[in-house]
Amino acid sequence: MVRRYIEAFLPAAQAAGLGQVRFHIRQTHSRMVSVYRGEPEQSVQSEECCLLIEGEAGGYSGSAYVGDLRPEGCEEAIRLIRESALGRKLPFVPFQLPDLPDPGEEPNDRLPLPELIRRLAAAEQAAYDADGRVELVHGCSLSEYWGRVTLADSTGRFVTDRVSGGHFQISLTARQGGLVQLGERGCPMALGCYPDMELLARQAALDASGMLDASSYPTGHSPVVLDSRVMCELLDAFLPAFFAKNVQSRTSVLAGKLGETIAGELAVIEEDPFLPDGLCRRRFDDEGVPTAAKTILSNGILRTYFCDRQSAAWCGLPPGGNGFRPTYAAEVSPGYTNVIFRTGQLSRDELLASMGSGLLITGVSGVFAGANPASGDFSLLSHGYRVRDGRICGGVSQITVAGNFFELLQQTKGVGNDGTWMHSGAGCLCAPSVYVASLAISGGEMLNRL
Amino acid sequence: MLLSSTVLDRVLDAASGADFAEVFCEESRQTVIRGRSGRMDASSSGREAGVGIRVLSGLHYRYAYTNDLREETLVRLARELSDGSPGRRQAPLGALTAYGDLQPPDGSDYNQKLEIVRRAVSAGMEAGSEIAQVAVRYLDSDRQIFVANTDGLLAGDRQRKTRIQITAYAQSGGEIQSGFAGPGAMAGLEFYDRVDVEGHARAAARQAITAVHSRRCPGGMMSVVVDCGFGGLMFHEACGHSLEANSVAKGASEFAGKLGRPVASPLVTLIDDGTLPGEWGSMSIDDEGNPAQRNVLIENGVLKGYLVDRLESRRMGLPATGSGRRQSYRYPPEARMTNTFIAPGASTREDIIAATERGLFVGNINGGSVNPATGEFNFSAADCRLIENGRLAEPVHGATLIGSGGQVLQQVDMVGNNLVLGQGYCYNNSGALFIGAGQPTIRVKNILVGGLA
Repeated sequence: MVRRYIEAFLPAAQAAGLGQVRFHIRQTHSRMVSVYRGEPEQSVQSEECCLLIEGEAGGYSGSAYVGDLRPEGCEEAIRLIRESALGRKLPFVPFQLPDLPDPGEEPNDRLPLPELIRRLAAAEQAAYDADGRVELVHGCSLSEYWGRVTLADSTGRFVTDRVSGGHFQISLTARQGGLVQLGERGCPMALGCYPDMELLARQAALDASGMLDASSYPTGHSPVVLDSRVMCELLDAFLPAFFAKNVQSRTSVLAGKLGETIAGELAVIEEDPFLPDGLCRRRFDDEGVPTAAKTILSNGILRTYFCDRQSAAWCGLPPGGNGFRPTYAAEVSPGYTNVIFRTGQLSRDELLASMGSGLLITGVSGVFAGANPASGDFSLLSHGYRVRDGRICGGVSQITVAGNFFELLQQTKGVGNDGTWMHSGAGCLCAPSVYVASLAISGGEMLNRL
Repeated sequence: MLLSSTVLDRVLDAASGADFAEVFCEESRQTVIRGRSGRMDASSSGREAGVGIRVLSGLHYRYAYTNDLREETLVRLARELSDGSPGRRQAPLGALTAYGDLQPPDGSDYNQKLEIVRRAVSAGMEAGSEIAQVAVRYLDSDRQIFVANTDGLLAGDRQRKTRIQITAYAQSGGEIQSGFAGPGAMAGLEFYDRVDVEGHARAAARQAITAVHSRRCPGGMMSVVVDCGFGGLMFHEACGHSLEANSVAKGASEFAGKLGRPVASPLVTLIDDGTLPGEWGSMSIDDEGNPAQRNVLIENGVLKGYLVDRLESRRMGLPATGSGRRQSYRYPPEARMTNTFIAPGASTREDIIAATERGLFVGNINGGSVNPATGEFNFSAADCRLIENGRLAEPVHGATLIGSGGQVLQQVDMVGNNLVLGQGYCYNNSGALFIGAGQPTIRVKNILVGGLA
């Protein structure tokens, strides 16, 4: 279908006076399945091929996305390209596509559907078996996607990468009397590399039941160990401060701080598209720039920003292979492949021991609204555990943990060896647990009684 | 129509081995333009067309979607979803019931849209020397949907929406804070004839300038006055999601099994209304083909109803409420909110502030989330001031409100007479949806404020 569309588009574009043309083509397949009380509940499958076309009109760059591949839509796409080019007047910048071999087909290591359903049902049962107080597993699902991204130009030159991945998710509630607590575990995966779903289900069960004695915590300041999953959430929220585009437009507090000390020495942030256990394996970004390993932050010093082609030009930096489209239809914006907050040497128990007394925060909610990437401020509904003399001694819920991410990087007193992965935009990131000297806690005497 | 009645019939025949089958066809055009001071960042415009096929067997559903509109592809997908048994069509496909103008749009007035963005950027930047940046996102969406199912329904609707989101950033002494305005409607470009774009940009800039000079909000339990408008998101999160069928039906909601029982202060009447003319969250039909409804969820504190889609109506034994919504053909529908608001009460805003000895005044809510199973919610509050001795005092920033839905509903002790609806997005299993959220000024007697200080 896409070939037929492009074959119809190119002569029509030429006749309409468009100059150079580039295509961004995404072919994807996906499947998702969930179980409920041992039976398959939902299954979703998809097959799609969509493209985004960039074209030159009057020396300017315009674009149109095409999710309707019927060739009769070519004229509308050409009109949209012309309008956006001549309206915005952003110069069309020609570039050479990288010369990379075809990645071949994605190996089909996916489980047959009946086996996947059996494993999900076993995971669901494992959650119920882990603790008699687990009342309801209301979500137990696994989703997978696989496909190809191809960049092509009107000369017939093209380059292709494979894209694939998956995610397991379980969520449940545990109840004791009138007290209810939630347990959730999610795990990103490479396609065909299934996590130990039963283990994750048991962990979710223990997360929930372990919080049934939770109470609030006094308002004030406290030393805090942030669990690796929480650090992933914070890193995801605040990495946009490291985007050259935001720096250039003065919406990041990191503007003008290249080469300056902005963090403590323990905070090291790197990107590596070729990391052996990385979940994102792109060889080039969505602007055709080869992806590359880079250090963003080391020894407390800000080393570089994430740059797409446009923001690199504005900032006088080389494009770093960090221009990605969050969806095929979206404009290019800064993004990344595998970003790693470098792990340290300490186990989580050792982190707790070095903290002595304080809080272990194992979950936060509402990061998308409660974290401000421009200022670095965050104030988040949180839960976790009280820690006394390095030992966990009871759950804590209905509190907020607040601070500033960049102050947090300066106050990092210990880094764990327990990196956890999560999906983030077009890429993914990995962070360990971190011991922070002090964060603001707001609490009360509320208990979650239903 | 995207697919002819003949093709729809064949796809339904192929899928109808199950109890029920449905074909959802969507053709959409969208333009997004982003602008900042000094330049237009980028834009995205284009057209999509795709089909989602759903079959229900008891409480199990299977769903497939594709943008390959060829009959052979759709029939193959439908066969893969069905259980292979003979077709069980309840009724032949009826005549099309059309809602709205189903003619395709002509032209796009791109330059007119660019000009709206430029006006907003310019007005925001001129609002004060401390404004470092104004980021504007213009959106319009023109969506035609057709729903056909094995009950014989064939319905179509055209839904046009537009919104401009303006974020102003103020900088002072190394600190950056932001302000926001985002008017939107179920309308086309004519919406901007009646919207004061520059006024909204200046309001966003004023918020940012106030915030950058404000101190960090203190934390703790206190009375909170939430102003009229999008502050109603508090109820969208605190109880709206917990009244959606996908949570209630499995008992994973604090409001499950409580129909007819008091769940809120008698001052609280909560309504979800998808029929409000021209509102951002409105529609003629939902994405299952049912006409939109006005649903009273809580009346004078008593739980009156839930939001129910077709699948969960089976589990719950309740009728569907015109609430089955999805972002696009890529999502199976679920019961979701439309325009959700608290009905007006008797107090004035001034009465409410004057009656509050000490507390926090919240001018707006940036966003929030809830876990329906526990009712725990959180909101990021914006445009905040402390209240001291019944008067608005110094501005603060960085406040988060947390609690559980059941608790906060009981704590509402004053409701104003100044209902205003705001516009936003709601993210859940069936995608990102346009929603309205609104309320008059209300006071929550006691709620935990998470502060930065």
